[in-house]
Amino acid sequence: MVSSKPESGIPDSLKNRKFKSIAKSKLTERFVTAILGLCALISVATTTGIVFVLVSESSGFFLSENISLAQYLTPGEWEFGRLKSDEVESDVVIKHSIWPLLSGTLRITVVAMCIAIPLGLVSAVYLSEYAPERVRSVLKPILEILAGIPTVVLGYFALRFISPYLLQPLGGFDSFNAASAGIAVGILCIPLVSSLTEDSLQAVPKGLREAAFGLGGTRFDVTCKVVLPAALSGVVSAFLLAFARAVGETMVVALAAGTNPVLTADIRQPSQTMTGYIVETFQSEGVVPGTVQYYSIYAVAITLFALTFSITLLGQWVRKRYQESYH
Amino acid sequence: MKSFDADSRKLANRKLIDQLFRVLCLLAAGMVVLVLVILIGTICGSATRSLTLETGLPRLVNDTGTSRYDGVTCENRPRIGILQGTGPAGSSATIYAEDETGKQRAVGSGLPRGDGSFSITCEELVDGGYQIWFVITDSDGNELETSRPIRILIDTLPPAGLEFDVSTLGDRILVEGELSSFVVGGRGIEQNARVELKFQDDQGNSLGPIEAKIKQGSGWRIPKTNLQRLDTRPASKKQQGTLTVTATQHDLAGNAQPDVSIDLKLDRSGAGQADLVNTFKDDRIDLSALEIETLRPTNLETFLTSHHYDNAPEVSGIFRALVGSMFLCIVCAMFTIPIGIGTAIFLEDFRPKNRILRLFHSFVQLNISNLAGVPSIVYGILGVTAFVYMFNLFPARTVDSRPKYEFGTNYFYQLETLGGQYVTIPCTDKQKTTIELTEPITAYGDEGEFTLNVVDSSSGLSEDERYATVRRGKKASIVDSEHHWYYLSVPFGKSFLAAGLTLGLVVLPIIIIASQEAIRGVPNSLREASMGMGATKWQTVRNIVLPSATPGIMTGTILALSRAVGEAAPILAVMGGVLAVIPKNLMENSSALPILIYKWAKDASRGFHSLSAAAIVVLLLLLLAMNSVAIVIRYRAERKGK
Repeated sequence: MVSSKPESGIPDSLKNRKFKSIAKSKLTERFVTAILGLCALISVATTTGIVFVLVSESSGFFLSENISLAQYLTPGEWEFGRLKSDEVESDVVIKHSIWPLLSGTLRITVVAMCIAIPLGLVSAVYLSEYAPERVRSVLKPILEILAGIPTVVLGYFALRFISPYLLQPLGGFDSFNAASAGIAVGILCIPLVSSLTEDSLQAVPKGLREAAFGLGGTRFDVTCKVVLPAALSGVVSAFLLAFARAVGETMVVALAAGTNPVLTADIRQPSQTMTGYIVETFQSEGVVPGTVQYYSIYAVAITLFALTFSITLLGQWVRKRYQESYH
Repeated sequence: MKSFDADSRKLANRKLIDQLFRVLCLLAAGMVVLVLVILIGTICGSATRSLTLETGLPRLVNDTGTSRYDGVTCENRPRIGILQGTGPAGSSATIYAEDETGKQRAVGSGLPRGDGSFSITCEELVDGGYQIWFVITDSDGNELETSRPIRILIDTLPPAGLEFDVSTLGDRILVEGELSSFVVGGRGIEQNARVELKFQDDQGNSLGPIEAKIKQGSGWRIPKTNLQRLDTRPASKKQQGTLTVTATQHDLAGNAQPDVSIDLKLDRSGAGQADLVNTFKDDRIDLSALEIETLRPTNLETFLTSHHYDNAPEVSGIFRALVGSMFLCIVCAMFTIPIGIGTAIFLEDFRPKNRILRLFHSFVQLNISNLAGVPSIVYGILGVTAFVYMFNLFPARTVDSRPKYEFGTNYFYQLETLGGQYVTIPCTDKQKTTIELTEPITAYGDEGEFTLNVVDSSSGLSEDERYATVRRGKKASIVDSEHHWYYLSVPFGKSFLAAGLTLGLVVLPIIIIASQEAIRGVPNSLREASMGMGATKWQTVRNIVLPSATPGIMTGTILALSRAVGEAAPILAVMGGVLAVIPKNLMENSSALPILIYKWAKDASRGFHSLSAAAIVVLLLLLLAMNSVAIVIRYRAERKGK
């Protein structure tokens, strides 16, 4: 231990050395640990905050008169977005089934997945198994650029290019429609699917591939019969995460999908999603705390949160549970 | 695993499949590249149009509503079009219409106002198809601009089937006892079919049948002149009553269709609050194409230095939104970077030994990966509740009351001295809204700080003395407040502080994950060497781990911030989408670039669409710049590492 009064017998090299108090640094250590713990607590507080806010505020919706949870969960109509804010407080019975909004979300998500899964999966396979290094060094940054494009930009693209120039010439498409928003959301999800899938393909050990090649397999055989099955858990969880991302996507939908909550499967019609409803309602002037319309935002949001959160959890569970271990 | 078949025929098949799959892969990769190229190409194309050729005004806009225009509530009848725009002094603008028979006429004209802007409403056009365009001429009659003609269909009649509708010219269908002030019209099933109309009021007076033919556009209309006969009967003295109108349609073969009738409320009270009977439906005018714009350039300088103006794309720009975005980014960075890095250090290098704390540790880790998957709009909702309204724990901010909890603001009393000078006195207790002056007091006037004298009588004072003197007992009340830039009050309200904090929450998981990876990348041998020298954990982290992880952390942080700059949904939820505000203090609303892009893309005017594309280019360039910085940092760190 270091003593405060060095004896004359200590080596010359240590004579002029300043010694620091260990007690002080131990105190600092504790203090810092507490501060860092507090930082970590903020992310926990965020989650708790989200859950608390959604539950407590949406209870204002479900506890309100004229509104029942049963009607909310069974197919019907959603009328909030179409009423003026002063009409809500009156005796008008508002129809408030979540299904039109949910179906809007699902329509767009299904279109998006039809774009993102094939393109993302195949380009990931290409990047991981087929692509020569030169192509890879071009394609990877392109996917990264695509991933970095803000969603509002893709919303503009959907509204001002996909809808008028690609879809409307086909006939039957409204200028706001679920398909254009779905395609843009799909484009948005391609990099996500592709990078997550590629990661899990890369995680398959080289030895497996070499063994399969040694048995006379072509590259296709190796990819489809060995690598993909081995990486299946990662691939499926990539799809699930992309699905959750598409469900939660807001700006594309707010721009290109329109504001018409209908329960249908027709992707040519304007449609409103859960996220689209939330954004639309926040922008209207009359929505202030205390009104039923304000609480309806939280009711929709808690549905959205429950959906995306459970899909994310499912994705993580699939990845953990069905992961092939090579150690 | 099944072994692969070595049969040569099958091998050839398999090789073919392999080749086909390779082509498929290439196609998919090509598609992705193509998508990016088209995306960037469209946006750049549209953006260059806006900056070289096309933004907007003058333009003819569609106003079919019963809305207000220029502060005047319009009557409840179709507006055909309003030409808005700007023109040089001395010019004049004229709207022309050509009907289906080829007859051309001017349907509206006007001169620019003092500021060069004009707004011309064209006269009412009867139903039918038209070509409509406008011409702007200078004082000598030379044409300056001519718009391309557009085709419009004016159809003021209700939708198909023999329905009819009554258009009211005033607020009531009956004004001062006259029945003449309305027009009955409707739509039938067949052209040239005959419609018979009967009118009957509740006093038994009747009129009709009056005949009409269903004309082109399958509509019919009976003008008010044909209805004069009914109002000549002074039978009804009642103020209110009903009038039943019955219509029978005979098709071309002469068969009568079922009767349709409608009850109209009559009001002769003249009280002004009368019922508005059956207004037109929304589709009365098909003006879907009615927006003609001429092409006029916006210059780059205007675009970069100006801010948003409603209905005026040619003078709008992005400056304020860009500044707002930067402010948001700074708030977000100041909040999220320390917390993000702190959490990452905690997770990586401060693994506790205590069992409960270990549980907390792994919970935080799990929580962060889940937070990364939460949609950003949900964060927006959290921001609204937690920052804007603060769970309604505090009295809400209103326009006329002063917030109870605030910091960084000064209030002033104001009063007029005997000499007519307005002076302000700093306020010490803001709850006292008025003070009475009894003692000399420090005040601020035209010449800065001075002592304000108090006198009982004003006689014998010179002009200069009167300038700085008030009578004893003079009252002054709080009129003004001055907020410092760090002005804070709770709840935050729709402020850019609230929006910045919300954005911080959105990118926090990204920063944590990136920093964790960077910290994990520091070789353990370095830590062990440091610990072996007797350093504590924190000393190791501060002196060894953080310096070598800095490039990675900075790269991740910059990428996360570039995500925050492009994020629109939480800002829209928290601040509600204002477009042209520069905040003067932390509690003020601000605009942001993604919001501007969103609103412009949604705007009805085509000029704004091109501007939106131009704003997107600016946003993408900004992100590109941020990402390049990140790449440079990574590159230099890698080179240094070697």
